[in-house]
Amino acid sequence: MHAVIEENLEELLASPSACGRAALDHLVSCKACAMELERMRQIALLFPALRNESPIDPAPYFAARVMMSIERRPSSFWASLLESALGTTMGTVFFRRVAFASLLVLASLGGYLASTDSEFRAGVTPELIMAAERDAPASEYGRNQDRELLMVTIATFNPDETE
Amino acid sequence: MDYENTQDGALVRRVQAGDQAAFRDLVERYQSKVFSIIHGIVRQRNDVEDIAQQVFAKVYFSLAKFDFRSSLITWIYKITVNECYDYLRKRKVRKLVYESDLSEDEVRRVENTEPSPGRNPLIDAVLAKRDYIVKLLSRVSEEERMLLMMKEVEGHSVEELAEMTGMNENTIKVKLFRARQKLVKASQRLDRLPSVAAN
Repeated sequence: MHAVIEENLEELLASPSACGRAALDHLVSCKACAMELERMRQIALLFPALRNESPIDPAPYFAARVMMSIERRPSSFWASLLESALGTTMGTVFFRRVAFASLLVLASLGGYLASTDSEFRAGVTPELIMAAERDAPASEYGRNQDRELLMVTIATFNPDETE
Repeated sequence: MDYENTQDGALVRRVQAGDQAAFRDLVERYQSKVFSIIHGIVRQRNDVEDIAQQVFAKVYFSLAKFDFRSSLITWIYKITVNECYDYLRKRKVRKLVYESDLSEDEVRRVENTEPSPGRNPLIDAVLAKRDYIVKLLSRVSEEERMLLMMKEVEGHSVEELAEMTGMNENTIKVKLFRARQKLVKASQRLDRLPSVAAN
């Protein structure tokens, strides 16, 4: 459809006689625009079928019934779930508190595990083994043999085995 | 137009502040209009009140988000038309489920039922037109459907639509043009279907 018709479409559908000369002249020369406009006009003629010619009045107390249905209706799925489970309208607030408490417990548990793990690892480092061997009293095999034993201990140290 | 400072605006503000009596006033003010729109589209007298209740429940729960960019009636109109289309969609699904329970012979019998002699052909023609336009309108967006209905069914002018929706007149014209083009395409597709063409 050409711009001149597009711009004047609503006027052409409502009352072609009130439309500008340019649009009407274009329709005479452009068959495609004339055909599409005619299809639009045919469809526009169907709309009055949707008009309610015989008005129906709401039944008495309709507003009261609406208010009752709203009061019965929970505002969200989770709130309704908790309301049915807890029998309270404060389901959402309760849910938020439970979630917050769970997060706090998780955070403190995580912190505790991380700190005990690092302490355990720090206790079996090669430096600590060497210090323990140095402080230990000399064995019956002599100092050289003790040193060899220390070297074997360090060489075979595997941190994964300590976990 | 500043819808916040109108009578409707004050009513909405009261509802937003939690005033239940204000919402009751709103229902009483718009119930006739909502009933009329619903009956125009679905034509099932028995279901009109149920749909209207759904509409007002939606209005109540969405009113906190109402931003006064359009008039209250435009906003309620859009919710009402959408609710009607939801209803029609659900009814169609229910009908398909029901038909799936029938045998082939039973379906054929229902489809070939002769119109009763007492039926008024004029009323049948209006009903056929209504079904057809309802089908066509299901192929456009919610906003386009609302604009087309407010223009063609309610008889509002482009200027009035611009004022009611908070859009400018050119935007309304462009949206209506695109919506009408979609309707033409949808009608061409529907007319190619044998069952619709026969109607």
